[in-house]
Amino acid sequence: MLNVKGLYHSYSKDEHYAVQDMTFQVEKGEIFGFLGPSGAGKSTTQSILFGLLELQRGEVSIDGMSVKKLSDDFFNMIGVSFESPNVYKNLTGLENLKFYSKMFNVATEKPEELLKEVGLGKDMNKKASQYSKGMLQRLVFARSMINNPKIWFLDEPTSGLDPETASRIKAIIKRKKDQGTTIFLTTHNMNIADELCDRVAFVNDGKIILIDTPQKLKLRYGERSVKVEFMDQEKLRTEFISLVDKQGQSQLQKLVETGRIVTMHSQEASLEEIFISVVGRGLI
Amino acid sequence: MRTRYFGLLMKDILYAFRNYCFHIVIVLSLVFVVLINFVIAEDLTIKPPVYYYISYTGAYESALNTTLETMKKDHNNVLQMSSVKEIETNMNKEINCIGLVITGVEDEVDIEFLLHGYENEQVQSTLILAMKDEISHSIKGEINVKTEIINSAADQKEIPANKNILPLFLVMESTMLGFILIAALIFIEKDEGTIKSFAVTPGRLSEYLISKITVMAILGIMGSFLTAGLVMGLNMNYLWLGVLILLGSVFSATLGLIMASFFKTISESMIWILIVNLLLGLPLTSYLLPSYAPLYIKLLPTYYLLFSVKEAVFPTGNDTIIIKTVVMFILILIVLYFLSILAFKRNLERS
Repeated sequence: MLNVKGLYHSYSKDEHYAVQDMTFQVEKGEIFGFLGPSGAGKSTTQSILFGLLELQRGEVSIDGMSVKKLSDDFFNMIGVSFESPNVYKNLTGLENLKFYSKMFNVATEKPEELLKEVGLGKDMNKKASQYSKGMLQRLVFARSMINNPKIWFLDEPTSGLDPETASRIKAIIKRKKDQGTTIFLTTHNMNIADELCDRVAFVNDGKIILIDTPQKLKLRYGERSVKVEFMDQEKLRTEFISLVDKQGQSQLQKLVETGRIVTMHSQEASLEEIFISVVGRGLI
Repeated sequence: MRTRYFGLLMKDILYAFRNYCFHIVIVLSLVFVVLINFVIAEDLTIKPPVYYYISYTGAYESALNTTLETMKKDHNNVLQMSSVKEIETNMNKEINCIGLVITGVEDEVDIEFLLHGYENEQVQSTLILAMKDEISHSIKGEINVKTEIINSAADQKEIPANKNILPLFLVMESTMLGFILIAALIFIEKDEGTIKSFAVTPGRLSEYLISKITVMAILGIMGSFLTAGLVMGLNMNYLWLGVLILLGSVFSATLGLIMASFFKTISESMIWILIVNLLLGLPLTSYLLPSYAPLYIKLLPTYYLLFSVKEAVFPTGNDTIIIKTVVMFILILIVLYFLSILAFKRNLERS
């Protein structure tokens, strides 16, 4: 669905690249997480992918269409949910969506339905200037669905949202994926990336450091041990037991056989820990 | 494409309305109407400086001096010069003044008024006649009065002073106000970041810009017709006025778009808004003083617009001036339109 090959970009048009040698593919119906700290080159890459920035070097195509030749068909199939709440503040939520629905040459979703879906049904006739940050975020999110995009670019879609609204948004994302929408998700939130993404790319200094599924990354970088809480002479004890060496395996077996185990958790590394260990810096 | 354009236009009209652009234009139009109809007098007497030289010697010398002193009290810009040459030097420096030379000996008094040639008719009919009258009353002898034009100027039809200002207001409202309003609207959208969200739709930059220009043209025509209608009624050429105001509004809107593309905020661009407006407004001087039209003013398109609007409001049958202006504006607009597209593309990439 999305093919990126040898992508470079320099704002100063010299050898100081904001993005360099990026190559990746995103399959149809996949949620692809693009993770990295501020200034890593995520926004630049995204802007090239949806045509806001000119492609300087490399190849980028979406559904076979090159971003070098931007056409109505190209924009009709993409949806972009920006991180910044870039809506017309002096228009109501409904007016905003109605306006955007007229900009596409394809059948569009009903603005009222979209607003209800993101929890703005009651406030659709309020001016956007009266919306809270979270409401604006949802309005931008709803707007990006107006043309029922084939490929959907989401930039921090749950930022500033309360847990209930965030899970509503995540449910919409999952439903869209099930319907076959390809999703390119940029986020700092590792939990969301972990929960939603089929694959993630770690980006740093304009380069992709690593691409894989969250599960494989955890397996590769996790310790392969379990945290066991068990009763020992009427006291609760906690131990980390290795699943790799024989001593650990035998200790675990004994605990299972004696029935003293209270809780047991596998010790996977979190995506954030993996990111820090691979990139050498945090996400903020 | 048509659906997109009308979608943009409806949004821009609504946005201009909610940002009080229509209110501002209507209020300003009504202010102009009140100024023209009720505040500015129809018979406007202008009292420019009077430079005089007196070389008369004879019986009426004392009476003439007394008269001149009285004139000085009534009109504090009456100044004595030491020679005719000094009067001419001053007149060359100052574009709005008249000269008075009193010569002769004994019973014969020669009075000569020196004029630039473009002075307001009220100046000639009121001020000069009053001065002549004043002098004739104080002396009984023979007075020879003559008027010399030191600079030729085009004939002007008699237009009441208050209504004469109407073309000036019409051009100010459609161009200068239009320029400020479109810049303000663009900066609101820049602040909101909505141009970025528009750029990821099939909507084209040309549609985006043309829609904004259309709103400014609507505002310009609405304001001009309201002002002109309430001042002149049906006694003017509305068709030509409409065409000229449309071109003037589109010109200033396109100029405003180009200027706004270079800045992030309205405060950053404020000095340029003022400079451009000042330049656009410079031809107003030439309108009030028709013979004062140096090259740098004649290079400004608003100079031609102003006199063409005057021709549309007070028709003399000289359509050539209007047609020339229309052609000139169309050519300028073609260039400006492409420049605005380039400027916005560049701006979008930078943001």
